[in-house]
Amino acid sequence: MNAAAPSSVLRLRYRVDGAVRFVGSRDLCRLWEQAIRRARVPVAMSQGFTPRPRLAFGLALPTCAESDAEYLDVRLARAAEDVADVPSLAEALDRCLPTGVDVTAVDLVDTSAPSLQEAAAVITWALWGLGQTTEELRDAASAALAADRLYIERERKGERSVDDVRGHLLGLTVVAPGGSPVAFHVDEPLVVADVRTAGRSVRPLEVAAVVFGAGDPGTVRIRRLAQWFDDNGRRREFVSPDGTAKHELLIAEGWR
Amino acid sequence: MTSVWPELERLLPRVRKPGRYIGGERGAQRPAHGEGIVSWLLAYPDVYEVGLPNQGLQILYEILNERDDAAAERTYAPWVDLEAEMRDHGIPLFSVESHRPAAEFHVLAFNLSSELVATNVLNMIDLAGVPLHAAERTADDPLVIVGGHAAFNPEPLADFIDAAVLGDGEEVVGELNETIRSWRGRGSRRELLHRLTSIGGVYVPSMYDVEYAPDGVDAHGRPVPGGIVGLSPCAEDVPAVVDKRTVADLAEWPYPKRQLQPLIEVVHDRLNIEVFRGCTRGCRFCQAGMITRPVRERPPEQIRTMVAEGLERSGHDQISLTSLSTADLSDIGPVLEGILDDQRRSDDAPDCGVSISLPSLRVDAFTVGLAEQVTSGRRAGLTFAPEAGTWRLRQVINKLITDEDLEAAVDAAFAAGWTRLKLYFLIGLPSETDDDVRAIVELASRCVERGRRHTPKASVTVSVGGFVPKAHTPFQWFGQNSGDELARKVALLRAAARKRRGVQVKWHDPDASTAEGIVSRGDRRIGAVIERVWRAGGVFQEWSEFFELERWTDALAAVGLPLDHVVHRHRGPDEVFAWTHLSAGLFHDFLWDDWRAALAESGLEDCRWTHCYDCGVCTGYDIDHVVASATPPGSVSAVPVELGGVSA
Repeated sequence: MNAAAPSSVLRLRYRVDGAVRFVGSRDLCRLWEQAIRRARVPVAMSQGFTPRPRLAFGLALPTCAESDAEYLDVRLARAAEDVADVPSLAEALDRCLPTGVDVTAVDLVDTSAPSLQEAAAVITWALWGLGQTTEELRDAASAALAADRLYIERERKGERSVDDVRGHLLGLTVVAPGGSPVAFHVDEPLVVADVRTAGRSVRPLEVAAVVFGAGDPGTVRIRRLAQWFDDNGRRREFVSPDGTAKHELLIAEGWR
Repeated sequence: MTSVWPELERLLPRVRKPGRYIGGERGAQRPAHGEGIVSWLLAYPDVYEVGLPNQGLQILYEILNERDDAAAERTYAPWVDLEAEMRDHGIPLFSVESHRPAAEFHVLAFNLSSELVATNVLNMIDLAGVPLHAAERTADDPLVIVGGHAAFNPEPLADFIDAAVLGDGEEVVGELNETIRSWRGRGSRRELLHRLTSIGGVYVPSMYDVEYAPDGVDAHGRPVPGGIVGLSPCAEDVPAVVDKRTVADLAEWPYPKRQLQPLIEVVHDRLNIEVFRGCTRGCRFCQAGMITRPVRERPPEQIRTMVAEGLERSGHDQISLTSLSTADLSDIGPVLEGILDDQRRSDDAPDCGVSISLPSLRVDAFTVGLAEQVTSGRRAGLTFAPEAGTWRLRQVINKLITDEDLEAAVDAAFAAGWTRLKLYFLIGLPSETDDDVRAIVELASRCVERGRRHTPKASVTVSVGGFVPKAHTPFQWFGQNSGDELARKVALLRAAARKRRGVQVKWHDPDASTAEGIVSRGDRRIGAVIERVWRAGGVFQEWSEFFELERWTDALAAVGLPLDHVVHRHRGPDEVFAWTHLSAGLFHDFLWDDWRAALAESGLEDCRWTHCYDCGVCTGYDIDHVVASATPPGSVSAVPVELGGVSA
């Protein structure tokens, strides 16, 4: 397909909820390709011997984590004005996805928009199953935020390093059981962590370990609540989570 | 009705590929269990990625769940990491749909595709919390049954199973369900087992006694176990011989209707449509062909409909038309054209073309023409299975492909744009000489040279496996080559290949072939061997990372069975085989005569298109081939092929 061919990008926001969280991100990509095919989405295909649908995923979700804010850009073989009935397209896709993967919002964006992975600046995580009381969690959170440095040991490709992740931790809020403002329900205290994505970033399980001493992936639960990009100093979500598939041309809002 | 999910959920983050254990596949069912309903747990004794695509299991899954009085769920062998956690935390084997403990099902039914999964079967019975030995089970324990090709000699597992089902499962599974349902709670376990013997195709080992001759010594004075004198039923109404079940009309069983689509990546991840069952080519080494006679084709229209509906539903972009020899489907040309036409007409996304895979290609130029028709895009690798390096040896094994046929096919393949060929061969065949072995490389080398006329990238990979004689075949009397002998032949091949450009050799571990041979023609005494291997930690024996021949040879030594006697000995005409009371329909005399014919290097043509030589199956079961056409696909004339003719 040459540069002059009509094209636009369908930006999807989706949820990963329940047992499907155990499907790894590679397999999730495959399931998306299958769903796009079955829903007959007019996706653009890559060139070459084995044409593949042109999909660009946002930051990968760690296996075993749930999410209310996953993103996928689907490159369409149509100009934006020729894409009929985006809500129906989103619903058709949703029907073809496995239980627990749900499209929650959709937008059409310009093809020149920065990629999801490049533009993501801050992630908001919910952590629970940390094995402590609300008070204990609050004390640990305050201590971490008051500290100048927070060191963790990492091993990468056989090499050990000690990194200071304090600069990546933008905020820690402890929510008492039942006091959660978030859309899902847990019966225990929950921590909402805002984390900067720059550089090596810090993984949610690492936050649980370094701040709360809870590193067991079997008991610590993780859910991504939001991904934010920097809009001239203000943070905005890529697509608003109002829970319905909607059609809003961000070009109109000055997105370039 | 309990679920292990809450405990399991906490363990999954610690293991690799937790998606293996969550179910949730498209097409998965959540049947209701309860009063008047027989609960089946269909088990594939290997890891999820290997077991999920198994068609046999999916067919039975759908048939059972269509009934009001049956509920079927599935389970697969947990990988070693989860198994360790399960044993540590007291979590039993569970179904992937509702995560129900295996022991809460009424039937635990294993699909046995090969010999080396035997230790996994034991492991899964144990993980289920069911007594390992059938004799120790009570009326509250599930029935443990096995089916599939390797169930045609189930004797090595006789101590551990309650029943084996021989042949096609579609009809018999309903009869089993009915018998179990009407028995439930109304008698002892032994009464149920006795009732099962009245169902055609169902073999209950505990209803038969085996008599052995006294132990003796061989020609070298080494102690050898006594042979089998007889296998006889222990009650009058138990059949002396159990005959296999054969579905006469595949058209009545258009399954699977909703092929399972997994959440994680598995093998054979395409739309699989069975186009026929059975094979009459009569390759003498091939158990699958021998035990699934006669040929029953699916009607061409039904194939087309199943493909079209399956693609519409699943969104797959690849189809596989499965059978033992798909190019032999009588209407193969028109069927393929029909499928491609349907696709062209229905495609509103023309870039997403569908490609058709034809596993088991016949070795001739016609078949290459078919492959050309269906392979879109770049053509990389094509596979043929000549099985032997010389025409002489091919006549012995009855794989009647001449060198000219093979070279014409290869030429056609390279001319059509393929650059890599894979050729499958067996080594250790009856009457094989070193010249036959070296001929494999010479043949491959000639193929490379042919290929180089069309492309400089032409390469041929020779893939060899050690021949393991199987039950119910003309070669069941042949003494298997030793591991050392197989290794020597592999070295011969590798040395020869080093001198030839473009020829690569890959080979199956000869030690694994030896272990397969222990189970393949084993009798009940091999059960103790399998148990020892399992207790020594020998699970996933099909996987090279876990397989060690030493566990098997140690186990044999511990029970006093010499390896030579069990695997490498030639059997004579007086041998009473462990499966003598189980029938795939083939007359014993037919098999013996075919064995002698093999040694005389005499071939036997395909009886679909030539005269019947009365192997016993059709006359014995009063059935016939179901084929759409009286002439073989690709033949240039309407005259049936004469015996002694040279075409494939």
